[in-house]
Amino acid sequence: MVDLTKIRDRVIGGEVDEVGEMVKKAVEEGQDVKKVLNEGLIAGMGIVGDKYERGDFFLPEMVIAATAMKEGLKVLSPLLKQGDIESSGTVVLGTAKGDIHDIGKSIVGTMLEGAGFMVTDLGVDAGPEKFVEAAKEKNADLIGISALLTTTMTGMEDVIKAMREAGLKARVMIGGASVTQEFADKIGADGYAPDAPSAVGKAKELVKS
Amino acid sequence: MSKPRIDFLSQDEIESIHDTSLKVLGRTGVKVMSKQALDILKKAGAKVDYVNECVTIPRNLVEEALEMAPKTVKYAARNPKYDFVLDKEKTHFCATANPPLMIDGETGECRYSTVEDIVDCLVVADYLNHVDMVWPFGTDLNVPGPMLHIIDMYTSLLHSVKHFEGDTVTTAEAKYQLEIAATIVGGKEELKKRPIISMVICTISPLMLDGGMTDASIEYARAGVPVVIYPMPAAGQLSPATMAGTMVVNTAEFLAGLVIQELANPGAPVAWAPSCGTVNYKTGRRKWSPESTLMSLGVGQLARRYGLPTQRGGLGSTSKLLDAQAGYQKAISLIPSLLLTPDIAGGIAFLGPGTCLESMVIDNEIIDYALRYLMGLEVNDDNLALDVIDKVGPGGHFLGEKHTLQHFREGWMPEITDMETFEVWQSKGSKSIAQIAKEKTREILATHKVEPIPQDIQNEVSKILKRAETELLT
Repeated sequence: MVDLTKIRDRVIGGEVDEVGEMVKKAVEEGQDVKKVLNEGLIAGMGIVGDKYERGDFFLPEMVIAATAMKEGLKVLSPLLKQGDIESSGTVVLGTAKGDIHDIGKSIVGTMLEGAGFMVTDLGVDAGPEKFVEAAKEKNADLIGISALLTTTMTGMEDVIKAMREAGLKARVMIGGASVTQEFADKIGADGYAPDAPSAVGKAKELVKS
Repeated sequence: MSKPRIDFLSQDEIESIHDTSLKVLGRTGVKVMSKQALDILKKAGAKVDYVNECVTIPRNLVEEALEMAPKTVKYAARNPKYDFVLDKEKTHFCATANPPLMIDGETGECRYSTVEDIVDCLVVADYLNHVDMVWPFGTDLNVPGPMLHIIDMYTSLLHSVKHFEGDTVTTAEAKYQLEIAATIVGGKEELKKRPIISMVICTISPLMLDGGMTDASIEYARAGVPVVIYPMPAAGQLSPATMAGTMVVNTAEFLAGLVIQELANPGAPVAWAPSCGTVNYKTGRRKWSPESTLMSLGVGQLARRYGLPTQRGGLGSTSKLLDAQAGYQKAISLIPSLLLTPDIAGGIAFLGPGTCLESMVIDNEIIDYALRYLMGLEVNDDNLALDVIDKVGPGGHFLGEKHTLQHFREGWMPEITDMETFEVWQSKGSKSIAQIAKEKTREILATHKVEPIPQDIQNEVSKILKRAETELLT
């Protein structure tokens, strides 16, 4: 029998391939899928989060642990029933039109997934229509827009306007090197986060409120 | 004159960075999001995958580009008194601020910049003796995106006579910028001879070149106006966590950009700005670090091996105030980076999250100090001063000696640094350097007049700007 605490520890250690293999083995042995998810993957991410909060863990450890968890989820997802996963919320992410700097946004996406969000990443150069369409289709709770350049950050306002015009109620979170709370307020975004880890906290806060 | 300098990587180590970078270009390749650039590369013999916009560049193309690139590059200014040459002999200083935010150095208050802030910074830059050139100080968010970089450039040229270097992200922007600069300097040919502007192309680490910027840089190359290739990998995030690996990514990105420039126009003037960053692993944001300085010096040695001009290092700080941290970070990053004489060093007006107007006079002073230190010292008979030592003898003093009179002004003298007695400092209001800097800045703004662009030329430029608006905003 695969020991679920070992899966948990491999998530913490960011051993991506091992986590995938062990989860597969556990499922093949007939272990309870929901138990594997909760006591293996989610328990692991919980400890990673605590370690980060305490200052023992850093971003690379968070990102690789989230990747390991995703590897395990890939195996479990087809087997899980509706309601087995308690999703933190549904997020649609993208980089504003005209901007192709997307590494920050991608890191935010990975970390949100690690925190239990269902994430759809629209990639780069995403215009308002793309956001509105995806938000409708996924019934998104939260839209995340990022922009690095001062020439593209104003494009974030167009996304918010288009969302409101389409009657979408999803909350909007923005980020990027040139963005501030002042700018977020000005364009009518619901929230702003200065970096990837705080984006996770902000996302949780916005989805709840 | 013996000057302090630094060379810490061995020839073998430099060669291995070069060689690994060539392997990256030949094996992994780079993504170039410009059809025009891909066509140029393909024609020259590079292997192009148009679907993924990826190109692998063979060794010989890089070596040819390194041959073709000029080893000295001229940076001219609206007033020729401020022209200079990047020839690896002397460091020139650039006000590389941090748009779009402005920060008050005394209170830490932070807000988006206005046109007034930008003009104030330009006037101070125009005044200060160690500012040789400027980057955009701020961003006027009221200017529509497609006009932004054109207006950035013209505002800077209007309010300072010094060289302007800025961003350009489309072919159209490049064309209008070049047309305006040519109008000011007296025609396209004159602009080639005396480029009063230059452009920065920021590669997108790891290993990507933006389409718009690349297209714009090709316009600049064809006009014979300098382009600075500015890779900004950050160890552990946008490049390997190791310093050597980060230098490889930086070099590969630079060489890819260089090949495009030299193929677009053989002999196009290019400089390398190898910014090697590190990451705050807690937040994922770029951070100031001793490793950045080390990497900048390492890549600087490789640039010397290439014989190409560089723009490196300078006054870096992550502080939110003009405090002790701002001072030590700026000084401790500037001085080592100057030990390898970059052609241009930046960071004047840069502070933590934004641009700090009053930090410019402090930065000017730090540079002044650093330059004196770097001048080194001379050992000869007159300086060894045997005669005057013999004359004064044990227990005397040298203040009244002719030898002292001849030499004492060689020593560094501060302009704003407080070196008074406690009583004098107190009687002058017990001021911090942030307060002194603010007062000095106010004084400069009240008294300094920038030489204007002649009215008829301003009228010409207005017509070009109207044409640009019609084309780009409708």
